[in-house]
Amino acid sequence: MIPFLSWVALFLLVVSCGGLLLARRRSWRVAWLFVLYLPFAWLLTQVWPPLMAVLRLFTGWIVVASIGIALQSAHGGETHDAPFGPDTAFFYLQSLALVIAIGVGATRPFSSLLNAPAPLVIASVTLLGSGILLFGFNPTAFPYLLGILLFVNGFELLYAMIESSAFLLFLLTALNLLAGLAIAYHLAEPAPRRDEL
Amino acid sequence: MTAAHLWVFLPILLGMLTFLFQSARGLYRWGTLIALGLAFLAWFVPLDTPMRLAGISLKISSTFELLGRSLVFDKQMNAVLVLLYGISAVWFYGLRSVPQAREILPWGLLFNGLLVTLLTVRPFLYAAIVLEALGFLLVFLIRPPAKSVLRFLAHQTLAFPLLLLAASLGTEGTFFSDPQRGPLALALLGVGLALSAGLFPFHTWMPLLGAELHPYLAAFLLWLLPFSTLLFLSGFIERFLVFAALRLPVMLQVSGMLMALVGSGGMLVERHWGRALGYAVMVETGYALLALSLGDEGASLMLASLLPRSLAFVLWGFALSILYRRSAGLEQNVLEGMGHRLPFAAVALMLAILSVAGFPMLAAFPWRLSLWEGLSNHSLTLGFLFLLSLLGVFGHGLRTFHTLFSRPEGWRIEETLTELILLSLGTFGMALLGLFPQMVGVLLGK
Repeated sequence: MIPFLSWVALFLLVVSCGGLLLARRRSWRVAWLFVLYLPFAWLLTQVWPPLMAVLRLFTGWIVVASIGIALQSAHGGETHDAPFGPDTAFFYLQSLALVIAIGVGATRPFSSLLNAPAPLVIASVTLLGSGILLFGFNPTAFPYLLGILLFVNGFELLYAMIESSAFLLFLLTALNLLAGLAIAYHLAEPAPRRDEL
Repeated sequence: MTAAHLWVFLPILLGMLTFLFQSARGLYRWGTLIALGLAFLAWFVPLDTPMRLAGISLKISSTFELLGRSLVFDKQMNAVLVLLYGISAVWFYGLRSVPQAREILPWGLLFNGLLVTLLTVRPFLYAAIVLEALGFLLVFLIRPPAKSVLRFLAHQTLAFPLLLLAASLGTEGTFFSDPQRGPLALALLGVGLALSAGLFPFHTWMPLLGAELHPYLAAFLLWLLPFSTLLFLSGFIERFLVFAALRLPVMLQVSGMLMALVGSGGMLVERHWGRALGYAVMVETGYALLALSLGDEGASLMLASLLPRSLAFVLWGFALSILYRRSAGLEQNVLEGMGHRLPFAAVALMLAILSVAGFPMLAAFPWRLSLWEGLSNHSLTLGFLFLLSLLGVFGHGLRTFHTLFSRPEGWRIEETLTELILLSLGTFGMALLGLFPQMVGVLLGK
């Protein structure tokens, strides 16, 4: 039952990553990010105590909420981001498939090195790859920072197999919140400086 | 009370409080006093030693524990604290004449707190996460985020998984005891450190930062960020690698020399002076790597040379921002003849460049000489290439001189009195450190 659910979680995570890569509207990207944290947290429960995974899920959703609120207040969620690289859905789907293939290929060495469950390794590599695709092919700051956040999340999943200390959770939670706030701050309209009024 | 309360949490808290009063006049004074106070405390207050202060017995512990991990202040940290907060005080005081860059004050205090965390956190591998956090904080400082800042953040993001994975493959001191994991760990570590410290070919954010931001802000960040990453790199090497093994000195020499040569070449041909400042930081980073390649003695040399290096960049940034305010930009063609209108700023800029070039009687000269001697003892080719890189920086200095004083115009002094005093003090400091290099040891508390 549990291994089956991990594969379901992996499927949901891959779909969310695809959604994040293919969506152009920022509001859709935020929605996909919200969905992504569910399978992410489920996969974390494979190596972390459930309470830590739940904490991580709520941190993720706080990040999404802060980005969503900033987006809504600034642009009404209607802004689009055009990548400077290939702008076809086919390219991104192809790249995502390649990333997943790399993830599948990485399961054997990681399983022998870290005794890691296969869905966790594939999910981690998928997040890392999607992050690189997002920040590698987008000149605008929003998808760029979103890509960096995905990359950090991908590594979190991988590193969770190595360490599950409260201090690490504290550091990674702080890092995620900081990333979320940075994205939200970037989206919000800048207040005029006193000397410019 | 612990040292972390004083030099980590207090500056972070004060930095956050300063955001509330960011527009207040004269805020630079408070920032300067705070930074100076913290530097003096680091100089005078002994750690783990009971003392009596106004009838109260007080002991500042060197260790702070949090969730089973700790922040540990060793003896070497005192010198870093004096240097970091002392030089920050100089940067903050400079805001008196450059109010456009006043964001430096709250963010500077915050970054300093984080930087101290980065250098004291144990196990040391968590420092990579702190460095990543510093990258995210830069997005708050520069709005909209500049390309260079995003690039710096991307490099740190790519570096921290590699460093954490590498560090998790072994413990401090016994890193390469496992022959099977050793090469993998070395590969991860090499790429991770190169990305993190902005080594060639991951250096592009440095000149870009110099071109994109206000010169004072750019100079501050170009001082602080490589300062953090270099100390991080040196700490990593010290803790995780058996120095003589794995051809580490050779790798540091190749990487350092590449940085120095590419940087000085860039300075020689660059026509935007903000970007040239970025290349100068590359050169300095290269020299720091070359110093680290000389072993324990080189590590002390690197630490001691941070003071003249810092002073040169403060003066460089300050002089550039004075020129920038009176001209339409930092391109060479718009700065032609500015030396006749702003002679003090022009001379200060020249001296800062010449100090980086290791010109005699200027702050960096004794340290350049020691480094040249160490490198030449090791290999004559390295010594020759080192001189070649100095020539590139010197060439930029000559071109700067020619540009600033090229047009025959009447002499005027357009600097304000405050600017004149600050420029003169900076120049005096550079000469003093060049003539009496032993002062560095005294200032950093041996």
